[in-house]
Amino acid sequence: MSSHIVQVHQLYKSYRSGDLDVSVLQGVDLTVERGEFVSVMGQSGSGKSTLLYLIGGLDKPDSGDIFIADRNLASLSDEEMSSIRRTRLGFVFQFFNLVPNLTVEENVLLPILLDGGNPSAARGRLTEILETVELTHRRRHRPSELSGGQQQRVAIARALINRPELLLADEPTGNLDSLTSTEVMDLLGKINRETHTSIIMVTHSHECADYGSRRIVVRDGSIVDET
Amino acid sequence: MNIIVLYLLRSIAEKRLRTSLIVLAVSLSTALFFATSGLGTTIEASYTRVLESEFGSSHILVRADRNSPSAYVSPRNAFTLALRTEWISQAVTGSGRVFGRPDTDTVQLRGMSLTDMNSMGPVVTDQPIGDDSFRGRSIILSRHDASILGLEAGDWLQLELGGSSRPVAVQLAATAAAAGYFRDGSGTIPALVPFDTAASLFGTAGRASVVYLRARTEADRYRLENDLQELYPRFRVQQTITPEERTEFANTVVIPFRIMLFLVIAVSVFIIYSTFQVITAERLPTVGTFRSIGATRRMVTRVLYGEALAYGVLGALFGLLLGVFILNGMTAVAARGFGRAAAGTRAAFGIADVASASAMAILLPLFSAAIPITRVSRIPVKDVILQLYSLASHKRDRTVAGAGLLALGAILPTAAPPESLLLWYFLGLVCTFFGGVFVIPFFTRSFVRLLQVAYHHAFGNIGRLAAMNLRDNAGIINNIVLLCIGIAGVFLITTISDSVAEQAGNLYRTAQFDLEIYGGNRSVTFERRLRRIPEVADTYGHFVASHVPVSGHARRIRRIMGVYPDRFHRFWRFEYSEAAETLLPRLDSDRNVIVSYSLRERYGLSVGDLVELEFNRRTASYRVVGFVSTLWSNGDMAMVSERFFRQDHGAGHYNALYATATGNAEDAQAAITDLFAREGFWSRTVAQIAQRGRDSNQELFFLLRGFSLMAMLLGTVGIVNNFIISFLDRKRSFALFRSSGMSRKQLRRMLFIEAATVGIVGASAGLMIAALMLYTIPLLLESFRVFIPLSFPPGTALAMIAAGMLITVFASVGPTVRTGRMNIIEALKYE
Repeated sequence: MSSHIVQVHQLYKSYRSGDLDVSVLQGVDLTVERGEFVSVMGQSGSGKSTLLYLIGGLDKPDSGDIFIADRNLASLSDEEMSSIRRTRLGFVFQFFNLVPNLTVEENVLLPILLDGGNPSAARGRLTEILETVELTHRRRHRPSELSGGQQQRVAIARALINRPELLLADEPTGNLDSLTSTEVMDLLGKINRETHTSIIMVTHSHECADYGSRRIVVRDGSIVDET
Repeated sequence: MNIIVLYLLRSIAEKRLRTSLIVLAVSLSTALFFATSGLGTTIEASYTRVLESEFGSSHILVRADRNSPSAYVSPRNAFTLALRTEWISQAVTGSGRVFGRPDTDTVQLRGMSLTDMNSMGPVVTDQPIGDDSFRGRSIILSRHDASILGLEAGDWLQLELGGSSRPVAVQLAATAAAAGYFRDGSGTIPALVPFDTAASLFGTAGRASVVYLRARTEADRYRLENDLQELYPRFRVQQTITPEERTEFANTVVIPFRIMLFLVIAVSVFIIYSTFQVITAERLPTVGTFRSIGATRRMVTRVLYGEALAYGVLGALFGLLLGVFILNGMTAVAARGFGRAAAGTRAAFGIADVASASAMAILLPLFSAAIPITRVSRIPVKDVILQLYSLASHKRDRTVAGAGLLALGAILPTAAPPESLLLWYFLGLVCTFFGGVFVIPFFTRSFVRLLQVAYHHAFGNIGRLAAMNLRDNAGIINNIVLLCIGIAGVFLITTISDSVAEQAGNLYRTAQFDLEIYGGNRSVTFERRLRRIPEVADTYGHFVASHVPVSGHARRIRRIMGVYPDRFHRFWRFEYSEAAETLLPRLDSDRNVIVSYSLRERYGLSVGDLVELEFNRRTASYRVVGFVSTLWSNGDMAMVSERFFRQDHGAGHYNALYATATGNAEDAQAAITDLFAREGFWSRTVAQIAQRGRDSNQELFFLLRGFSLMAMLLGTVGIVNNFIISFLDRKRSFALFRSSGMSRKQLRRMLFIEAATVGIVGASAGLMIAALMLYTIPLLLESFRVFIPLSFPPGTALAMIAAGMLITVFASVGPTVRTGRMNIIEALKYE
């Protein structure tokens, strides 16, 4: 098993906007080690979120290669890519993206359900993860009945339920106040430390970026700084 | 204000699908409203035409019956009331055959002056003719019959009259257009000869078979009838057809359509309401902008109502055009049900029909959009401008209110006061309908709970997820409601039409005879001659009084039979409240009556009660001795002994005459035709009668099914639209599923299971509402004298569930395919 969880080589991506081709990523190279917590910073439109979604297989690059645990995403079918998302990846979004008519525990169990797992058999894991995110008492509530911070913790629990090797977080505190942001970041830091789950997090906030073990800065589609 | 109007007009034009959907809903409702309203007028007109072929425009007729001193009546006494009449006409009637043409129909001969004929209803002839030239051995035939017989004006033909084998030569003086008397659909050849000629041929000594009168005023017709009865105490004096009977007849056809119309309008209201919810939500940010630059709340509200009005005007235009088209189609189909007599009937509608349909078209969107518009108008200006509002529905649980309405729907019809039955029955139906719609979210939740387990076993976790997605999902609940209303409509109509078809079959299943004999004077003498035919084993005849008033009650009994109690059961096997062998003989012991169960309910009767029947000759008290379950006369019937019937009502010839055959029914029919056709008698076998019953209902139910399918079509369009809106709403959830590892195949599978489940739940809810409405609809129909016992057919119910699934799966194909191709990142980032 390779020590790298993510390897990106010469990644290019552009979008069409009207009659123009807008180049978003221009030959990005990146390697993330297992257990590493990488913060990705950059201005709006710099390409950082695009990089994250390409790594998560939600979109395809124009050229270049992305390897997740040594598997080249370019060679995968929709079924295989979906399977990787279910078992090896976890996503956390700025706007939580919970399914409104499912309860907290149903939202958290979603990846298990999609993977054909038995939700009853996953009860233990569910309890454990809900305890980790301190939402055991809200397990039967709907997302609309929770605060923003609680909703984001549900999203984190959902991302972690299948014990993914890599957690991809797109501005997880972008929609939260500073106190709640700190709680969420503490939680992510704790998960990284205790479970050695690799994390790539896109953020605008320097405070949040400080939780990472490495910080990269993206500008105009290229990585311009790395500390 | 102008800029806001411009903005709205542009929005209407840009959202073509949505505009089309609302306009379609308004147009279809308007078209069906217009067609239903026009159909009542048309049916009355068709029926009137049929009746006019027999009675012209007369109000009252006088003729001989069995107790009359002569078979003919003198009009002299009637002329003493001439000042109160518009006209008095007299006719000699008889029948015969065209000599040498055994293949042609019986000739129905009427001897009447052309002046009298024209008073009854104008006769349009192809050749000029008047009373001065219409004399001697002249005859007028319809253009149609003359052509079949190969005759032209001036040709001679020979007739065999009244059973005489010696033919009489007559000359075709003119041919007549197919109208009035010559518009015959009974399967006979109508022929007109001068009054004196007929009087001489039939030996009436200058008297008439029938005297027709038309009262000067409609209000006087009933008093005139009484006065005539005094002048002709030993003759039969009767109303031809009353306006009430005409309306009642039209109602039997129109009421089922009105029930269907209610469902179509309900679907439309729902579609417009849910679409306006989307419209107002979409418009709010712009409304905020307009408010910030000085537009008042009233201006904005008015413009939103203006938009609803625009849809109403467009819908009225399209709806009226479509309505005329549908009405013409319905008229053509309905006219077929009346036979040749109504051929050429045109759609009849007046300015009132157009005005009421237009008003409905305009009010429908205004009413349907009122709640969303009011909700938006209540949002404070600051919240609108800063977009601080929430349009999420209050998620009020209407289950309790729904259950209350359902209970009310069951109670109202049973507690209805006799003077306002119709209103209470209708309110009962409305409560049942809305109660059913209100409990749908609860019903869906409960159903989904069960399905979750079943789907987990059948489709794995994807099935379980699909079931979970249905809970409290507004778009899906809307689809279930739409499907539910559509399915309820189609199911109700299918059930009613099947029940009527079954009724026609069942009625004659209780017949123990082989043939019914029609036409001519079905006298006791004729019955004896009939019995002498070797192919005829036995005969039975009885008398019938129509529309008999019951003292103290507004509603009359449609038919009262005067039966021979010892023989009736051998010909009709009705079911009684006790054994026929003991019950029927009691009719002879005193003035006793057996009433149908429908009448028992209507008049609240029990065994031993006295009921006063206002027969022609006298009003007499009859004691109820039992009840009968029969579909004869749609269950609106009673039976008394012929002995008391003769005394109280008078009896001439049999109103119904039946025969059993020694061998097969067709041989007996052929023998009767051979011997009696020239006297104007004909017969039908039980199989032929049952077939006619089914055929006559077929046209009506063909139309009704068309109506219900339109409700379904409208519902389906609404469902497709809702699926699109609902999928757009849930795009983000789908993207989330995909980001969590759901493959495209899994997503498609989940959405199809969801759609099929919406079909199952919607159809089941529709069946539930229909089953509840089936309890009240027979009562409602009965108040219009339409007696149809209804049952819940499980086979049709299963077919409806399958249809519901097909509709929703079909409706979801487009949105599902598009969802599979969506850009996940865009969907996730959208806010």
